[in-house]
Amino acid sequence: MALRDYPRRAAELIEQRPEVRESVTRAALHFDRNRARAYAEAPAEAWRTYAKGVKDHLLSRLADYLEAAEARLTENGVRVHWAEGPEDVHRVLGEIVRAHGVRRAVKAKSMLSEELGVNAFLEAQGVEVYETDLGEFIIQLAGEPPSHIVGPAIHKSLAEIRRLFAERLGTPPDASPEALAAAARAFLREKFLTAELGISGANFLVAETGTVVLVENEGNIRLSTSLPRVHVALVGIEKLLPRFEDLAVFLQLLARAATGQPIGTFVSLIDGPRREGETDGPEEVHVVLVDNGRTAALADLEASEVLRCIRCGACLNACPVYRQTGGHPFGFVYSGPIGEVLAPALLGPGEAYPLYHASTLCGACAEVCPVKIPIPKLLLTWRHRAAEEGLLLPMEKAMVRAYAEAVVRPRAYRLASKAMRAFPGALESERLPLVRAWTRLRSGLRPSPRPFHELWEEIKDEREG
Amino acid sequence: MSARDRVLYRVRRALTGRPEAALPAVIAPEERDPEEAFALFRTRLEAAGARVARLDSLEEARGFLAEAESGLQSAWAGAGVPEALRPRLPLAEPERARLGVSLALAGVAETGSVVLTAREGRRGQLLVPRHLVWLFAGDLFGSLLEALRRLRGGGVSALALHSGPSKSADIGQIMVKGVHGPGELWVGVLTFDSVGLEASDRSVNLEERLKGLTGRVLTTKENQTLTVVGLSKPGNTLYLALANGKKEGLPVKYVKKAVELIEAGISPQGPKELGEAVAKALGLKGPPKAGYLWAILHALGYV
Amino acid sequence: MRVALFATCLVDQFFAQAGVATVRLLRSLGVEVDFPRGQTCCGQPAFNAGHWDEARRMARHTMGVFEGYDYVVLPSGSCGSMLRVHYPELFVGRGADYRRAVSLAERTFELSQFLVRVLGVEKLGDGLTGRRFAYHHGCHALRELGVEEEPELLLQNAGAELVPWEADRECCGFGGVFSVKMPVVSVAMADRKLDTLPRQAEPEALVSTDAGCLLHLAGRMKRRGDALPVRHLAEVLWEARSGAS
Ligand code: SF4
Repeated sequence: MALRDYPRRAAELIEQRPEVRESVTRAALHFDRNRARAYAEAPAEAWRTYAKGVKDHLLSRLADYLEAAEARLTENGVRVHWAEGPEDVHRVLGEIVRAHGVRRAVKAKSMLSEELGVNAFLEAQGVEVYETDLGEFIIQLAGEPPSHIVGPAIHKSLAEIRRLFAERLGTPPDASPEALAAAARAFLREKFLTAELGISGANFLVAETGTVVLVENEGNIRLSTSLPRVHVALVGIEKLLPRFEDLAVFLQLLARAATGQPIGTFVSLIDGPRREGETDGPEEVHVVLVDNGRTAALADLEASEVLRCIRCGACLNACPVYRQTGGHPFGFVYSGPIGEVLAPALLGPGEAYPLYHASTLCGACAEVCPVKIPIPKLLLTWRHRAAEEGLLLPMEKAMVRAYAEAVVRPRAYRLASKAMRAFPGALESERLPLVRAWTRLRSGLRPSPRPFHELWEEIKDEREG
Repeated sequence: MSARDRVLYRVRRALTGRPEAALPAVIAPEERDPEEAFALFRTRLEAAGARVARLDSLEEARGFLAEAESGLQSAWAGAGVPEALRPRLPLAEPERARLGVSLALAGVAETGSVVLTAREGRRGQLLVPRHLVWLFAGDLFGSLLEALRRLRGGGVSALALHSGPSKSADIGQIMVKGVHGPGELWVGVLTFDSVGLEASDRSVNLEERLKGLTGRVLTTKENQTLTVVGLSKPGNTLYLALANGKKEGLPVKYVKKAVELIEAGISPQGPKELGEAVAKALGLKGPPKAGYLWAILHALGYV
Repeated sequence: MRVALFATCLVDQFFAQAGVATVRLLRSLGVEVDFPRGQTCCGQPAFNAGHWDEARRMARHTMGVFEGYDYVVLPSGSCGSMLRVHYPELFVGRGADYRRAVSLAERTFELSQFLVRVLGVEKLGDGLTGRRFAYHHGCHALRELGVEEEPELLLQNAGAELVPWEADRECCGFGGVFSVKMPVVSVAMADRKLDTLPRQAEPEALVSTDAGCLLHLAGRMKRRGDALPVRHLAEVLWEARSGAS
């Protein structure tokens, strides 16, 4: 899916599938209200400042921390791999699949694995792959990508899920949400117990202790990382935290930002494979440290602010643009505000065009971001760079030049003002493309009978009273 | 060049000339006294849909357990659960058990969490529909930061914080419990110390109980933390890891003697008195690592 | 005190009466108002679309027009934030221009903020007694300038009632060029605003300090067949003062 098609896809979705807009709006507003309440009852401002500072420090010394993490992980008995992009990750996974004769893999929600096309790769190796997060499971059944970082299936209504489960799992057409969840649980329980491989992402990786930290509400991540013989954690290199103690704020801030909870229902702190005296847990734990565009973003001082992101989804929930469609029209793994600035940072502004224009710059995202990523400022930066690189609509530069000429010459401005009144219907036209973009869904604009700068001549000498 | 070298090289090149950003100091959490901590712990867990009971005697604890067991056919229990608090139901593998009983390493009031160790067995914490977790009131921390400080480097493959029953709102924003993990979380906070457990536990082999302490993080009276690493193979020494990274071995015979003396009726007021009594009984010269001994006996419920 | 009115191009062209109201309101409070003739547009559309060289040309022009005034007052939050927040950003590292931009930023105020924070006026009169409005907080006024209490305070202290509106702080979807680049999304956002507007509370008008939002919302309402008028804050505040309606 080309990102370029965002405007068309968004328009089609809004006009043809109004139920999506309704589901997404409802869910996002619900998340956002919970977030607002959860921020209000915690020292959110101090935490956000701290979290931003910790991540900025980490990124400024990232190479050292990566090496430290690697050393601790290795001491803990974890096998560490490095990957520049999807091919490296596929190679590592392929070797593990062969070495362990993996036939079945269970997956705990990981946005990074979406970036890397892990499912398709494993399936091509003959491995059955099961998404185990309920939302991910739903969209896997439906054959769709996630629509939201935290709630991948928020665009789906209960009715739609009922239909899907009835078709695929044989549940009754009027099954309750509990019954649907129970069907998914039963189906997946067997997979957990028989899978040889569990794949997860990581919310954090503590450099100081080599601890892989995962946060969730369902328990599927704990199961995926505890039951299969092998656990592979895919970790973006920006996911590190310097100190074990940093978790105290990050775990709370993440949960409060994402869903308004004081902490995720289940937090896994994984220090390696099963140890002596333990009765279960994986025999092998692998951590794959993944670049996939992140070092390019890091090299770009301004854009590198996106690397603080902890994928809480708060900016999506707060975003009035996102709320009209959910994530699908964006055509990128990450959607909404963070997607609009991650896409150009990871893919370049050409490929990401025009996602960074899909914003009114209303600023709601920056207000909620737990690590204070200045998303509107970054959107402006990308727009500027795109303009510099000539990534423009046809005629755009010429129009902007003409507009600038008129603005710096007040006489030209006033002439234009007169001209507009000489053709009073011009702004209501259905034929001029730019005007039509306005008038197709809105009534045309009517200028005031006389502009203020003319009225001023009449009132300038008025005295008070 | 390997992928490792290339990624690290690119990171270094990306950061060339970039000044180091200062690392902020860790934020000191709000202080809470034990009463406040318990109140918050309960509020948080209950808000998350868990059941919390404060249990002031062994009878109460047994009652809570019986309630959790009622109507069920089988149970699973973690290795560290004291004998008196183990389920009476027939034991079963976690795949089939309807109830799981665990002993928490710690509790966190700020987040409403119990901290579980992989040493107890992870499946029993996850596959059962109902999960009962015992928490010694003395192991409840006011803040997550304090708990993390105590728990770090506990020598197990994984720790987990459980802060409520398994849940999901992925189906039309409707909250459903028990999606993958336990749909019920029961937390019993044990405020009574020692005597009750001791009385009922007399029959249990001391060695087994010491093994059961493996992975527990204890605090001495002087507020020093130590982690129980485990019992030596022949069972003569209990290894402890101190906060400063040092290892200590505590002869099991000291513990045995101390238990004997207490069961015989002495009631030492503190580590010093206990140490002196043990030293005298065993004919030792000085008091035998009395601080650690005290902490171990405390964990076993004797002092 | 030498105060210049920066009408902004949208008010100049589409809400001319709001310009008149601003002048009268300020004069009634004893402020001498000038309207420098060279003023045109602040350049925000070019800036937001990424054309910063053109935006700088326009910004330099505007900085020149308003040189020498103690204050520059705008009946607009969006253009106010262009002057206050983005002009200095545009000229970072550009010596004299940067100093001029910062100087202008410090002297620039959105109308209601100027009344409350600079003039210290919290009550304009009783002219709105018994009247009811829905107030839309424009995003730049709200989040970049921190204009939040000022308009509400001035309206309520003059006797107006503001109807509770779930989405009053949400973006209306205008976003300048966004409104024509992504018109369907833009209008869906307007619909969310309008769908939550409590018509049963019978507001007589939808009020905002931002002309762009008002044009967009009015255009959409009209297309939906909704006759609720939109009013610029300046006009309503002048009514608060003068009692005329
Ligand atoms: S950008 Fe900020 S708000 Fe958005 S997902 Fe990342 S951390 Fe959360």
